[in-house]
Amino acid sequence: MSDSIYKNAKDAFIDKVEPERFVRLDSNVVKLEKLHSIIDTPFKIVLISGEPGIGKTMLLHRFLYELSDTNSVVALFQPAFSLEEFKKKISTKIFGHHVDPMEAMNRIDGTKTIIVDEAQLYSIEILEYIRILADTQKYKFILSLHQNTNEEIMAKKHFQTRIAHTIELKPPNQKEFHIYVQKKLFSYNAIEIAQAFTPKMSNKIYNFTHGNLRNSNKFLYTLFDILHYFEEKSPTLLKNKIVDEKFIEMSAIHLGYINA
Amino acid sequence: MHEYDRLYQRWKRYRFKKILKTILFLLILCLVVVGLLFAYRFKTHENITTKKLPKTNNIILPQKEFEKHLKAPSYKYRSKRKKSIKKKPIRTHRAIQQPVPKTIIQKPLIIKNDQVDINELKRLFFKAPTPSKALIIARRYYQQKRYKESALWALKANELDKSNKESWLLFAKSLAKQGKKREAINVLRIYYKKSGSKDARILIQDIINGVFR
Repeated sequence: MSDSIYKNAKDAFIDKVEPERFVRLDSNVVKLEKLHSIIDTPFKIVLISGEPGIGKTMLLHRFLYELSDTNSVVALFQPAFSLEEFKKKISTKIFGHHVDPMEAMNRIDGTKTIIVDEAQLYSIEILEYIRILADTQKYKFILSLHQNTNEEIMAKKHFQTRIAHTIELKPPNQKEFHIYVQKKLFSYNAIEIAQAFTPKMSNKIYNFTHGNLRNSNKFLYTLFDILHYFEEKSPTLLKNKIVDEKFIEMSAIHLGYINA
Repeated sequence: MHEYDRLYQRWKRYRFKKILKTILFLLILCLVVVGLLFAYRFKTHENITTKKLPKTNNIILPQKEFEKHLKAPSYKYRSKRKKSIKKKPIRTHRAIQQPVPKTIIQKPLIIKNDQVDINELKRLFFKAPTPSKALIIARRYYQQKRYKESALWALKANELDKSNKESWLLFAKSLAKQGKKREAINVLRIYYKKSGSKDARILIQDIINGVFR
């Protein structure tokens, strides 16, 4: 089974963080460039918003990967559920041990940028603490959060005045989505499948997932998993095609996009 | 059974339903299209056959009148033919002729020639009656705007050959020219129902729309 041409294709769409294999699309490259352009400016808070699964976390990982030679940026990708835990996490990341970030801020040379992913999960208390830290001008925050919660935080006036930029991520269009699938397949050496995978097939998947990258990855993983299975068990079903469109429908049924 | 095998069975059922739905949709679409075409055709037909004229509620009544018209001349014709054998045929036919309008009298030479021609034609007709001779006479009268006579001779032609289209149309035109539009349309409707003649249908429309004057 490991010799299957679908094995690599399946691996390409496993939901895992791989900043080195980040797929550059027109829509996300612009946002990445914007982050690079504002990182050295004296901002307090930058918001990155977008619907779940749109690629915010991937974008932040890539951003961090591209800044790997500097130590002025740290990131919290796992949320903290209490203020103490939050303080502990950021102090450990910045100072290497647990201290109060407010007391230890004088030890910082210049400023520290803290990337906070899934900020919508943080309590008001922690968000207030973030605001206070941002006011010291020793800490700068890049908060990534879901689109609906963005409005809630924006509504808080004292928070609003501290937000320098808001970067909103949108799903790729159909053309970009096809490029995304192709690039992913090529990056995992699934060349044969990439060549057989037509824009029509990409569009069909896009119609189900609306370009949501997490859902699309799940869909494509399921598709290649099914193909992998039938290649072994009933190869005649594949009808000498690398990707038959009926398997796209089967994936849609399996994931609940089609009620069959 | 592996979950993907079950999935394949589900997909087959889904595919079957999808094809069935597509066929049903196409079938309904075809029926709708055919229905619309039929309705359109029926509506067009209805406009021609049932468009009401003022005070024309009963189609049967004018038909009866028309049948009377059809029978009356034939009777006259037979009786007069008998007479014409015994007596001078030209005189007898002068009896059924209407007085020549004054406008025609103003051009005596032409009228005379026409009259001579018509009389000659009548003589030939009574000698050996044919629908074509009756029609020629009817046409002459129609050209001379003597519509009563042209109607009569069109009827004679019709009596001899019921399927002769021109006899029907000329009779209807002659009636319409006399201002009897309702009767003319009824005659044409009878003929249209019998033959489905396109010319009859067009003439009905022309009379209804006032194009035919």
